[in-house]
Amino acid sequence: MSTIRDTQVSAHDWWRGAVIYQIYPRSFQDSNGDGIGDLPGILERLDYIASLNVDAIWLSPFFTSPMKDFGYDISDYRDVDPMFGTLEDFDRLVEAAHARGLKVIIDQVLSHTSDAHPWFEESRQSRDNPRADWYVWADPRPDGAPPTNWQSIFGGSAWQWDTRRCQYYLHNFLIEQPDLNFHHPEVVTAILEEVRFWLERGVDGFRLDAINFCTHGELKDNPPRREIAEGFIGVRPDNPYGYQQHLHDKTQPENLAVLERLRSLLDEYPGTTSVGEVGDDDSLRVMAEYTRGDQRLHMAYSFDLLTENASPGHLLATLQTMEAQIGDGWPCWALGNHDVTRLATRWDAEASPARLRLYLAFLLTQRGSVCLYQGEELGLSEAQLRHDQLVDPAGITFWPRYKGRDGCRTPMPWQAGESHAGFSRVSPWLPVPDFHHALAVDHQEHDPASLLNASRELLAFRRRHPALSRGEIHFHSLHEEVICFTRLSGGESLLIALNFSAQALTLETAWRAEALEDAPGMINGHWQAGRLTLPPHGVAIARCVGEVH
Amino acid sequence: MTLSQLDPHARLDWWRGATIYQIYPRSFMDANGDGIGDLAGIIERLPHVASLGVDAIWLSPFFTSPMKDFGYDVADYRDVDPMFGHLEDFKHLVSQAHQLGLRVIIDQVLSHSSDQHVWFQQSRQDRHNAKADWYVWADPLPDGNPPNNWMAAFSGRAWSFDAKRRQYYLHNFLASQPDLNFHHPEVRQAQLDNLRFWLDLGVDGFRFDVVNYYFHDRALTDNPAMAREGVNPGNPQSYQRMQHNIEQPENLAYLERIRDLLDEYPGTTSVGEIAGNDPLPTMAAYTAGQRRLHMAYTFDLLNSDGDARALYDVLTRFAEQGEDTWPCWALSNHDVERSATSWGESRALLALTVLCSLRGSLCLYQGEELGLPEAELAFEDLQDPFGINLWPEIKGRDGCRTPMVWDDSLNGGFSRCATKSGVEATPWLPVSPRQLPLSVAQQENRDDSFLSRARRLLRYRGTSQVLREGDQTLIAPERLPDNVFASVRQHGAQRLLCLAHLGTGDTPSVIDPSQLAPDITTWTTLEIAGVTATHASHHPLSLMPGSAMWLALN
Repeated sequence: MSTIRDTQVSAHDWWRGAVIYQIYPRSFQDSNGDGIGDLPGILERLDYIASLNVDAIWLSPFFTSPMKDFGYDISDYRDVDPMFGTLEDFDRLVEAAHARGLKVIIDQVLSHTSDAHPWFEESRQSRDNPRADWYVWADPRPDGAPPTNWQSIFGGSAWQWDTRRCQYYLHNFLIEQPDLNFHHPEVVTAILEEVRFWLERGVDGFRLDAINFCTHGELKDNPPRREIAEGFIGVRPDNPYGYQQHLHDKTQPENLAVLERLRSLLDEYPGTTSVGEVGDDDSLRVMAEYTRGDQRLHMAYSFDLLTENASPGHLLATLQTMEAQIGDGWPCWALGNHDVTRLATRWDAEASPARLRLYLAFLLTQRGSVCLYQGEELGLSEAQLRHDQLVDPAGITFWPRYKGRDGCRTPMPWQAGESHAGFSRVSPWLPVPDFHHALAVDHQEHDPASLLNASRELLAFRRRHPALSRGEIHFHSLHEEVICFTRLSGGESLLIALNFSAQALTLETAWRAEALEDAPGMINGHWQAGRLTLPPHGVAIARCVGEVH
Repeated sequence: MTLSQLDPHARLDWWRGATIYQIYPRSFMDANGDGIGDLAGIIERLPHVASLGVDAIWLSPFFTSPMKDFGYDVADYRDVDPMFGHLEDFKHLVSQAHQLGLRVIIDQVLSHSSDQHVWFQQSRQDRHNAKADWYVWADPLPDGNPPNNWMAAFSGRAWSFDAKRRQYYLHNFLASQPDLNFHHPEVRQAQLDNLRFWLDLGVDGFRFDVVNYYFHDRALTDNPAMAREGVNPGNPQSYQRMQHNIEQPENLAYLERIRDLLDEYPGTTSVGEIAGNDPLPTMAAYTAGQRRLHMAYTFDLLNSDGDARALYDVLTRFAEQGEDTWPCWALSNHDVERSATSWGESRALLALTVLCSLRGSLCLYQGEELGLPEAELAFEDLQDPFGINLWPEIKGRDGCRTPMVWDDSLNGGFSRCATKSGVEATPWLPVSPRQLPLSVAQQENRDDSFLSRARRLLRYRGTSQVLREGDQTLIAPERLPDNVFASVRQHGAQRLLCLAHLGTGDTPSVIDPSQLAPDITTWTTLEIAGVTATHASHHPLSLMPGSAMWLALN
């Protein structure tokens, strides 16, 4: 069990236990009437975000891009794509966020560029130009086949043929997303200069896309897996990517040196932070490794809680495995983001306000930082789109077994009575589902019992109790469908019990706990003396009196 | 009815030595003003084709298709794509062609369908449906990779994964062109039934797309790597010998079933396209005897740049495969650079002269009679996935597919109808400005134009028994001046010496015909395409580089 860690809040340490609200700019608010969200739109909605009691925003990519992967294919790291606005819009957004006490974290997609990036356009010209080795190029096998068996996450071989060099280049994602070669010192130096550009503009940190993909290993075939397991985004039994043990294509030891150089840069700007996205066969181990000490990343997240599996056994096992491995590292938890089916649908809570509250309470009582994806505070469920409405290449490729990521990327519903729910004056790039209108912000705003207001209350509660954000965690075995743990910090000790069953439960416990004066209204379970009463999908949070165990 | 049914006096083997004019429907004539050629447009321009003295037209695919490979991905084998018209238009076209004495050969793309075909839509649903095995499905390797190393023609693996079946399917071309499984008897029968549909509509024959691709090796054996010198470095597929993905022995029996069907419709014919690593022996095997295909062609001459030695080698190698075979030669088609460019524009007429001298049937590609060079296109203009995928080393096939140039009006007369909004349609590929001065209207009334010469040449060939049916003796390069290609055609007592100087420069080569073949004493130089004046002689000849002579031997 972990030791008590520092719970002192220092200004530089703001990220530890913080709640980060993820904004997908295409779908947040359209201010210029082109059907696509933009930076001035986000600025308009900052007051709303601040009202949620979150600590930071994370902006998904808004950089210059051909948008083959909706901005995760960058052709100019130092500019704003015209669809989203200008650098001046960005500066205004940072200033306005800071004025509201919100930190600004931006996405950085360092592992690969767009194939339209000038670096790649130069690299593919010949085998001997100055940037010839900035990407991962390799000769074909004698039979013309790609150099290794590596697969792209988005389908097909991870190698794409180039007729000019008569070589293959590596792309772990789309063909239009060639992987940079981080073994080349000039690449690391160049990419860090792109990161510095944004630090100079005053951002508070970075979300680092696919950070364990930066460095590739020897060009050797990956061995097959014994069992075909689900894991990282889109990695399912119906995607050949999931058939391999990814020994050579990602998560190489040399990546740690890249992280250390990145951290050195961040440390030149005190108070900045980083959260890495880790998709690996053993993501929890990698999260721990990547956040250990104070020379690598500040935080990391994986897809372990982003799967379909909402059983308390799986959730508890994930949390315990993480806790056992994390040491002095730091996790960042999320139950939803722009890559996975929306929580309400994925965990079957569309018709269950109690479950939505349970999952929210589960997320916001964890040890670690938290990412909350836009619309999660409204309980938005997945939009069901037709094949002809899809724009995500992953969904188009693997339809109908995997419908891609468009269903979680539809526009935010702001006003129930407006067309396109107030997101845009015109038809948006993805439609607003009809049933999202009823969940619009203005509809929930004035309903004290709405999920939106419950979210605000719970977020404020977490902020008031450092034990929840930073304290130790101790898990208790109480009932197979109840996740129960203590959070401890300084003098405070909170007992949390989460009932994942549809039955009301009354359980005898060994602890004496008392109600909190400031408990949010959604807390519907009770401890009286040692007796715990939990309604179906109920939540109890109480102050522990005396020793636990 | 076929033309042979309509005309009881017509020869059933009309196809032997015939010239077939290939029409690429997207680019021939746009009658409805949508920027894309159509069947009604072809009907309008048939008199031009008939005026060339050719025997037949071959229509590239006009069938229902999502057009990922411009019609070589068929979604309904029995209907006309709306972009080209309706079945009624097709029937009208057949009847008009027959009235002009032109036979109608249509393309049949049997090896693969479109992924939009209902057969494939059903096949991909699961592993147990009635058409589950109509395509070539295979499990992934344990590491998730495709079952073997086969590569596709348009770059990348020949296998694509289907998430629903969790299997790979084979496609020798685009992923949207799944290969049918000809090992399945129902597939073989279904395609024969589709052929019968068109025979009943009166077509005179079929051009069979990649006719040696129907069967694959059921054991899915890896193809061996190719020796380094056989490799086109820009195209990964060329790194391997296509030994197992195509051209399996089972195909011969299927060709015999196709022939049995054709023989039920006397006077019909077939010409197979053969691609692969060693196509000439296949071409011979597929056309040997009377039981398989009537004719076949390879890319050997299509990829020629007019080198005399190379021509001799290809034709000799084919001749060595046996006498009981019948080739169909072409220098241009919708898959390769136009011969006026590959041979050089100043040699375009020379190329046509060489072609007309060959034993076999001939295919002439639309625009070849005008001497059109390849169109230069920008990357933004490209439509062909082959070129888009492999640019810039391989520019694809759009440069030979730009619209036909008919006159000086907008879009070269290809698409003159205004759309409903009154705006001229933009052709699907731009009309080449360099080709405009060579339009039909520009050349039509000039006796010395390329078109007029080509017409005389083609008409001569069309009515010459020795050229259509005669044997051919190729004269070894060692016995000729450098860069001269020569052969003797013979039918009964008739003999014709065909000479072509494929070299460059201003120095004529002296040739003594009496040294080239036995029993030559005198000869008459034939005036056909304005090459030279007619005169009888027994003296050595002087042949300028870039010119040709045909001599009737006495």
